[in-house]
Amino acid sequence: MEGTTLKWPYVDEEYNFMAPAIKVSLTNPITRAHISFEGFLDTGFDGIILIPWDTYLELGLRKCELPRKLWSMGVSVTGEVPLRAAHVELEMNGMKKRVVAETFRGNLRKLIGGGYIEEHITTLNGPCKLLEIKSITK
Amino acid sequence: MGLRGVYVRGVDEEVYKEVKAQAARQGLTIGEVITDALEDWLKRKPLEEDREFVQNNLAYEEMEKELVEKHGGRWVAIEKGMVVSIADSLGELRGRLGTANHRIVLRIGEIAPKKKYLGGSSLWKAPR
Repeated sequence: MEGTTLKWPYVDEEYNFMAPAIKVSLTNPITRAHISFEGFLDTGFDGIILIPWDTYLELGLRKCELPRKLWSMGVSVTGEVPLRAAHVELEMNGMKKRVVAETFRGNLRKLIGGGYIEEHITTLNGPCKLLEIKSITK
Repeated sequence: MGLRGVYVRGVDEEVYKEVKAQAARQGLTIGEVITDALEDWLKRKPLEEDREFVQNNLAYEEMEKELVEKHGGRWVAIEKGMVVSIADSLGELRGRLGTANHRIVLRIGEIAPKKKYLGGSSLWKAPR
């Protein structure tokens, strides 16, 4: 099992605490529209990537959307919400992967969920405020 | 509201002359008329997207069984309520698309809906 270890310092999440975040780029696979941002690692989200509604529109993902019948249902303490979904190309430090990005109207959060990190060995180094991801090449 | 000069290529000359004449008769500037037209266009755009969204999803729901049976694993694009392309790869599909305000793109049989926990923080927006 081989791989490289990537390290990112925690980022101020705007809510007065530092949180683990990963810099990623998303590309619309049809139009090639492109955007980069820091997504916060949230193992409580079991999708791959949740993006803000405005980012979804900005990337033109309504023009390459999955049918509503295939949208997952997001469950939170406040209830359930259908997650609009579209294929995107996700790039993290040169590693590209086609994934499904999800959102819902009004969402402001950028989350990298458990669905993405399950393919990697992820370490949260609390004392050093450092997120380490070891990508695995089988 | 900021004011700025914008040079637009490709405007139909006859339409422009008529707009200019009618704007002058009503005491309006070309800028005011064009801003008004652009605002109308922006308001109309989401309605077209929503109409095509419904059209595309109804078409998919009607054809889903057939698509799964005949085209499992292939890429499909639906525009304006019709399948416009079926291809073996996303790259191949990309070259065959038209213009649309909404489009469905999927790989048949790849995605299944499920319940996904959004995490305690995902809907939370604390004051700064």
